[in-house]
Amino acid sequence: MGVYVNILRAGYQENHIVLRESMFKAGEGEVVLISGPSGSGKSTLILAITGILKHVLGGFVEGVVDLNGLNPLEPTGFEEIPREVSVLLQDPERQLVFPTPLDEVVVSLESLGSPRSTAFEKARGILSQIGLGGKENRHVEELSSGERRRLTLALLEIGDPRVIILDEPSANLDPRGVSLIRERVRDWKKQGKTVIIVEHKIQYFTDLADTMYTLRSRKLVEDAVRDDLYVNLPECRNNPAGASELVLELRGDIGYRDYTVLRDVDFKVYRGEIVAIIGPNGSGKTTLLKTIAGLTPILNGEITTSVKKLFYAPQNPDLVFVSWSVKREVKNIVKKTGLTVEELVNMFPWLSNALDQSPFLLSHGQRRLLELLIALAHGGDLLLLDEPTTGLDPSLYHSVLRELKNTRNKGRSIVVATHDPRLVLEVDRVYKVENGFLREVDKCRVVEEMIRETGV
Amino acid sequence: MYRMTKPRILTILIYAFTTSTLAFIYRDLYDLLVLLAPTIILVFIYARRGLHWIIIGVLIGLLGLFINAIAFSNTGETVFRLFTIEVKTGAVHAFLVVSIRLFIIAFAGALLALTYSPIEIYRSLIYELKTPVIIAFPVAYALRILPVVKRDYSEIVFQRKQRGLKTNLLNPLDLASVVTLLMVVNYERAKWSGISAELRGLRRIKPEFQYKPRIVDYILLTLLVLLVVYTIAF
Amino acid sequence: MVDILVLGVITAVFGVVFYAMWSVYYAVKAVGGPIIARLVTYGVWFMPAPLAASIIRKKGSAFLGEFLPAFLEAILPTVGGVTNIYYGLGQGLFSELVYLARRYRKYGLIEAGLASALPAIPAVTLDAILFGDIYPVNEMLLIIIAIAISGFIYGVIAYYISKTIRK
Repeated sequence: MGVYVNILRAGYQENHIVLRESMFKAGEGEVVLISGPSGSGKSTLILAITGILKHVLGGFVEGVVDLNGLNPLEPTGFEEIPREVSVLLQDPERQLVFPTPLDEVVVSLESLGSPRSTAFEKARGILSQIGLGGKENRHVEELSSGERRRLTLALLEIGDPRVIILDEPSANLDPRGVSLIRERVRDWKKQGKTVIIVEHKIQYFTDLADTMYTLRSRKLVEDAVRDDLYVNLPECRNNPAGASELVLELRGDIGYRDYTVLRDVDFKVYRGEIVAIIGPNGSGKTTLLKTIAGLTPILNGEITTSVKKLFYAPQNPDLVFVSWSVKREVKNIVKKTGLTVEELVNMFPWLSNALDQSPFLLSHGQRRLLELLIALAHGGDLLLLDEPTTGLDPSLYHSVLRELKNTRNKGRSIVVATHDPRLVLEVDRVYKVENGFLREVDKCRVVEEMIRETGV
Repeated sequence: MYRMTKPRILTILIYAFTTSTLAFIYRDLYDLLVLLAPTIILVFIYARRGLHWIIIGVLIGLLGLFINAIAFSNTGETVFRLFTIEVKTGAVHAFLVVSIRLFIIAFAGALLALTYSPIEIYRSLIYELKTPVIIAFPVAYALRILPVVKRDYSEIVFQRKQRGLKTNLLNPLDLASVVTLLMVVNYERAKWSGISAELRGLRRIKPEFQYKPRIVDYILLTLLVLLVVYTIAF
Repeated sequence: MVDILVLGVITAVFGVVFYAMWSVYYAVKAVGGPIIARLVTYGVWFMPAPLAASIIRKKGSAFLGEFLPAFLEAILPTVGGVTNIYYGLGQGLFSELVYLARRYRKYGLIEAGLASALPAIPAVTLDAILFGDIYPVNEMLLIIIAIAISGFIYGVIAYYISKTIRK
């Protein structure tokens, strides 16, 4: 038993191949680590080998898949997948489909054959084991992100699956969360389960892996190869701090009514600088931006600012669009800001080709660019950008970087929340969120740390 | 304070549905009052928390109803004068009938929605009432993401404000833009939730029917039968 | 399963939109009475049916798209209480009829518009019973036509929204 995969061709639509000639295998108690840059088809690989691509998404998969004796490419094998295989998706929050932890666990138990009479009792037992006793009837949105993570991990182990698949487990985790997962992986190995980890930052798991593969130009090849996204970076230089006027200062606690996200924040922005906020997901970077923008009220403390106009661009670019065509978005900007279409197209020449499209059907990178354009046009003296460089290919990335620098040179200030070491390298000052506190850190040391984390 | 045993959800569902339906049909002021009285009592026993919102809602509605009654049913003898308008018996009667009707409907709804939480109700859909998965699951998932959608909504309104736009839901273009964003963002979420649900085998869930009435359920159902018989007979 | 959860999304989204609409609706209602309030806002309440049908394109999707948000409103405390369910049933059935008449083969612009126009009939009928406003037949027809036109517009909007969804 174990896992054997040999996919010849797979894709979402006929004659559009996303994955080809990919072979790997793993025995019981073995860990396979699969790496590859973003967009290389890592998630597609998981959807293909679990039968989702073929049976749910209407795509095609040619080849052989054997997950502990089951063939998920056949309808009968696919039916049985939940009994043998557990999958942790990239965004585990989306894995929770019921309002309360209790329902989530009960339904999982029942779908694996537990009779209803015992499912509730068992579920309460499982929840109290992971420290959610007494919270089983709370809405999952009221749990902390750590509690939700423990819940998704517990769901993963219900029914004692023989094969466990993890899709970018580190993507939404801080170092503590990663070590929790590593501990589980070690246990699973001991229990003889086969573990497949698809991961961008492979160094978290290389020591646990028995075999390593890399996805490269839609093919799986043996041996992990370091992702070269961040090699050839220019040398880090700390920008000299020029005397400049303070445009924003935030002092106090931030968060929501029921819980404080960051305590004793002392955050400053000067005119004409780019400030980066870094730290794990869910640590409070976005809350800080929202608090500065005025979308979330400050818990206690105060914000003093000389800025009359600012713009907050959220992590999901879709949320800033107001119409069904790029042309109308541009018209709206022209009407509200007095800029001309030529000026806008000059900023991002790419725009002239996209005018007739719907903003929602653009690629993620293009939507990100349009969002940035809107932010730059409306932003006044302070731009707050949440993850402005995710999903950008190198050429889009460079036009974004150019515009950010231009904006800074015009004396406007920018705050970015980011995970991208390329971007952090270019900023003037860096704040880091750690364990509920925000502090200013040395830029070059942090960049080095970030690159080390992503490499081998 | 002594807490009354709650009737089962099915009992309350039957009660709420029957009284609302009767309120819908009955045109006689006396019949409607007979229906209203026990419903008010039940609401005050079981569903007092959050009731003020319902009452405020109904009262605002009544103002509009009054205008309607004057506009459409103002016939008969003058009862009193409001500024320059003669309020006639027809208007008063129409107003009373409709407002009691609305009170019954609001209170019967409150009896259901305030006695049990939405989560308890959808649980009962799956575990007690044998509601098909195609109804019970979307309701469960809707309750799951409702706080998320609310957050998205306030973020969208905020973003529009940043871009110098107002959000007036009566304007079809504003509404279209807001609904588009909510759908685009949450469709993506549902797709991955759906994939995860498939991988967890959640489609195997079989809703069940289970009804264990207690004394309070029998009392409530008897009361309901008496109400129906009484209002039909007299 | 994905389709089922998409129905859940539509339910939640319109749960929120309807909730926001209620305050607008009450403002209009307090000033202009229920009839004017309904004329101005009615199309919005018919929207989820053509939206669900245009996205999911399966039997029953129009009906469930309309019924489920109404059901959600009934279990969250709202003034309409369980009568929401009657409106949901009636409006959903009339929307579904449009797609049934097309034998579930076409989910286009016209179908979406009609699926959002036809519910005017059950809605006005239920209103007439509820508020006791029985008008002469031609006046009633006029109201139905006015609401159907408003519904048609929102149906068209729903169709275009379905086209912006990245599948």
